[in-house]
Amino acid sequence: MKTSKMLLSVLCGLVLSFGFFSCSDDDSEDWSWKEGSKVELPRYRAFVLTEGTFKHNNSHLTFLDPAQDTIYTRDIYEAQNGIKLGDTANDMIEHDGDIYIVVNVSKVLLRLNGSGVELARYTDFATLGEPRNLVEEDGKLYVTCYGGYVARFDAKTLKPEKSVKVGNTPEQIIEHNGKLYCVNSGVASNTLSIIDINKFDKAESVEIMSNPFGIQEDNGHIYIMAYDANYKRYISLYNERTKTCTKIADAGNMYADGDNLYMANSTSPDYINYQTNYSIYNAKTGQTKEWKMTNLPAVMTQGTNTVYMIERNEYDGSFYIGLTNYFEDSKLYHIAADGKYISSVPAGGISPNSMIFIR
Amino acid sequence: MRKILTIAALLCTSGVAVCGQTAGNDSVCGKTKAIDGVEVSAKRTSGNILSDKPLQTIDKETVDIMGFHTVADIAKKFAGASVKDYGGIGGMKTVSARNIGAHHTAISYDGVTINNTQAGQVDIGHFMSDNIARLSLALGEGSDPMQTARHYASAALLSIETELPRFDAKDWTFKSKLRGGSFGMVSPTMSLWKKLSEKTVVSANATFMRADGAYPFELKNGRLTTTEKRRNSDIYSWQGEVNMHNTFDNGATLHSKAYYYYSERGLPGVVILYNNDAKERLWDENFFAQSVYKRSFGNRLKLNAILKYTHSWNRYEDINVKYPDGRLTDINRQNEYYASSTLMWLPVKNVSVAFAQDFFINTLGNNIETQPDPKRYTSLSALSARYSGKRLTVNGNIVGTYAAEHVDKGDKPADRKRLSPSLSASYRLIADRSLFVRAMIKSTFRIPTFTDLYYMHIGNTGLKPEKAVEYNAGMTWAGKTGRTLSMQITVDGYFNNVSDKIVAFPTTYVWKMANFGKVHITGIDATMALGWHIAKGFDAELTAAYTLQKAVDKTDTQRSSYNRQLPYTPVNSGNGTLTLNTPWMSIGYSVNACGERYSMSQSTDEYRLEPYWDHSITLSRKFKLRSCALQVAGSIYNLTDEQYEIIQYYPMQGRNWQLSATITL
Repeated sequence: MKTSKMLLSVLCGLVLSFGFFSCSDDDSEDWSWKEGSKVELPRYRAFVLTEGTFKHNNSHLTFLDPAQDTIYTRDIYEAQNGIKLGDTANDMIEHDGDIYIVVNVSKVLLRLNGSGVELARYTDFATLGEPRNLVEEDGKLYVTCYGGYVARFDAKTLKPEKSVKVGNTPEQIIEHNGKLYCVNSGVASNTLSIIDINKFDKAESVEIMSNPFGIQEDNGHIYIMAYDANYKRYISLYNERTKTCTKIADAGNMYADGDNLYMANSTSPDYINYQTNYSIYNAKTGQTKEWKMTNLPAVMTQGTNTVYMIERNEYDGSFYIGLTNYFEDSKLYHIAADGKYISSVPAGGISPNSMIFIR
Repeated sequence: MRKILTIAALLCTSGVAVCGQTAGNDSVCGKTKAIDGVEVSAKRTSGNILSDKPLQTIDKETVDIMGFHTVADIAKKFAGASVKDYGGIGGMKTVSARNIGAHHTAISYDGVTINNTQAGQVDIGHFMSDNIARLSLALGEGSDPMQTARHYASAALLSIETELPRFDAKDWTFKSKLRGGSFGMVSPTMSLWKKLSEKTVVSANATFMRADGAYPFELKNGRLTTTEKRRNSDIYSWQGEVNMHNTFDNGATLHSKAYYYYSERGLPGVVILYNNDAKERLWDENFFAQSVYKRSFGNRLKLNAILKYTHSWNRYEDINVKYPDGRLTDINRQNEYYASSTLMWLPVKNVSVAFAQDFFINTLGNNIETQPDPKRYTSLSALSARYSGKRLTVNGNIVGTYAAEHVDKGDKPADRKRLSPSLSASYRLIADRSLFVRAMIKSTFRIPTFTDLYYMHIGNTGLKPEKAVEYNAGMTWAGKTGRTLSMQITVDGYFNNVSDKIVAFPTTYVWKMANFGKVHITGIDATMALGWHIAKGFDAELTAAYTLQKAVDKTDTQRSSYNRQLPYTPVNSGNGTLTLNTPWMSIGYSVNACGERYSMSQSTDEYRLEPYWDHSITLSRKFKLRSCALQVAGSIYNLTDEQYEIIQYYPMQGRNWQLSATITL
């Protein structure tokens, strides 16, 4: 008994010392995120997903070095796996160091390691319909599918487990307080579906407004983005208690962070030349103010480009704003937390829609 | 349907009513025109030498020897013509001349325009080659001053002319053809020509075609290349027409026609990586009845009058769980009521003046409740004058357009009024020599289609017309040495300026049609034909066409596409044919070649389409069997099994074959 206790103490000591040493010794770190990688990548990484042009098989995953604001010139997914992502990669999240992507028109759900090497894929979406967006909770992926379902997958194996019927053509999905919320943009649907994540058996349907397609949450504030009758985008604040929405702004893109909602709104009289305004809504005060950014290049506020993505690097608080004109490879505009313009970076493809940061 | 039958009956009875009239001396069949001042034996470019505008023609004999299957196959042989081919037997095929756009290229069938006001472009893959006498592509309008105002208004004109009945000893001819080929293609055709009297001839033909269309193709996906099969590419179609040709005592002629086409096809769509689940289908039906009346009043006045009714219907269906009841069905119906007349006056020797007036009404209905069911009323008036001297020919015309629209609900565009002038000339450089120079300037425009204006959320009633100005200057030459060799060469340089291009423009909110874009197209088209009479019974003909084209985006200096080559536009493209007639068989070899081009405005490797060479060969032989003639032919298309795409991710067929037997009684 004593011997075994001693052995245990020695082992604990070894583990502890290993832990201490690992702070300064790279060899002892967990490098499993780059197993199988053909490209040398730094530990501090960012990935950009560009969806491309509908039915052109030109979605790309781009590696971006956030320390240098440079990208790996080739599609990192293709470099690592020898094949292309497919058509209209619509959403990407990070979970436990892995990258998860849904490719909408190609009907593919992917799990990649932290360097873009494919670990698993699921493709049988014939009954569920094309996958659209996803969220992770407790090791499970919840994927909205155009057949009117939220489907649950094991995040490690991508094995489908169960699906719940929601409204027509569900789009973005969030998890909040043990519940899943997804917006349904389809014909005669126009609802918010709410699913108890523990039971995951049925969805409560809440009528909100026509054509909702975006939903985000932070700090308990739920924001919903929709098209109005003239196909202009606007954002509403959802009240969980009354189950109603209150319009807060005309805007086409949003990023929720704490009590703030960062917004961009592009307007055009002729569908060609756009004027883009940036603003911040504070959910605590209910006030909207200008998002002050300095030294912005002209392309960010006027021209044929419009904002397609706003993302924030949680490690340094800076923003990446992705613009698109839908025809040419897009650019990301890097803005410091204090609003100062830093640089522009190629997005590696057309129309960037999501970005993740891993360290 | 009752409306269709009534109008068809009216048009056809206008022909029947004159059948009983007394026979005269004129024949309605097999008229030929002599070309003054030049002797040519090579067929491809004979009209092109004399014309003041580029005019290329391919006749039935070449079509048969080459084994061309549809009008689209033939059109690929014209210099400057780009056929957008989505691959497969049922894949859509549209033609655009010198990159101005398919919407600016009018398609005419026996002298009368075929129109699609909804889409603005016609699928020329529908028209089989079996009953075609010749196909021609004219830049600017056609060369006949007696053409319709619609022809005068076009930027380019693809004319399909069907065979006129011909008779030998007996007063009827019956022809039957059976064709079979790769990918389950079977197509029987029958035609009958009957002389009812010296003044009246009827003809009828019908073609059925079916194919599985499941052809293999290579799919490149990163470093991986796999062999796939095109799915959902099946088709079956019926096509038939009845014609009546009448000649009157006063020399007038009346040609009445009723045409019907029906097809059902799978739409394989774009090849999507990892998703092989295409379930889209299309049914379409097209009916038209037309009468063309021609009469001369003495030697100085000529009249053409045309009446036409067109009905087209299509049903598109997609099965996908994303639709509320698992299925999407769109049904569209279009009608066109069309009248045209052209009057030509020859006031003095060498001068003619013509006035053409067209009026047409177009309607569109569909099963989408929110759609406005538009009606368009269009009047086109064209005044033209021509001087045709011994060495100099000058043509000028001006087309006035007035179009007004009515919608049941929603907005409509303002009435459109516009004048479009055109001037062209050719000059014989040396008397008695077939050496000409020619020049043309022409202004045209296209009115937005119903889809551009009204379709769901993308339509935009604020659209302006898309404008194009064409400039052409060229030189033509024909010559021969003795009786054995003849040669023709044409070289034309051109510049097209297209502005206010109508494009589907993706916006932050939704795709929207918009006037966006300016394009400059500069190029050279060259054609060559060489005829060689080798010995008795042995003839050879070599033709070649080459296009050098720089078509660049001049829209916005801020965009990276500024001054770059337009998508799907090769700098170099060309084609060639070689025919060899011997007493034993005819051999036809054909090649289409195309340089690199890009599927998007950015010229990166990802969007680069490889150059290709598509070779085909056809062997055919005619047998005389007592009272009937038998012709058998065998073709191998894409001989080298080249894997290529004209539109990215729409693979073309690899090597495939076809056999046919035609019996004529």
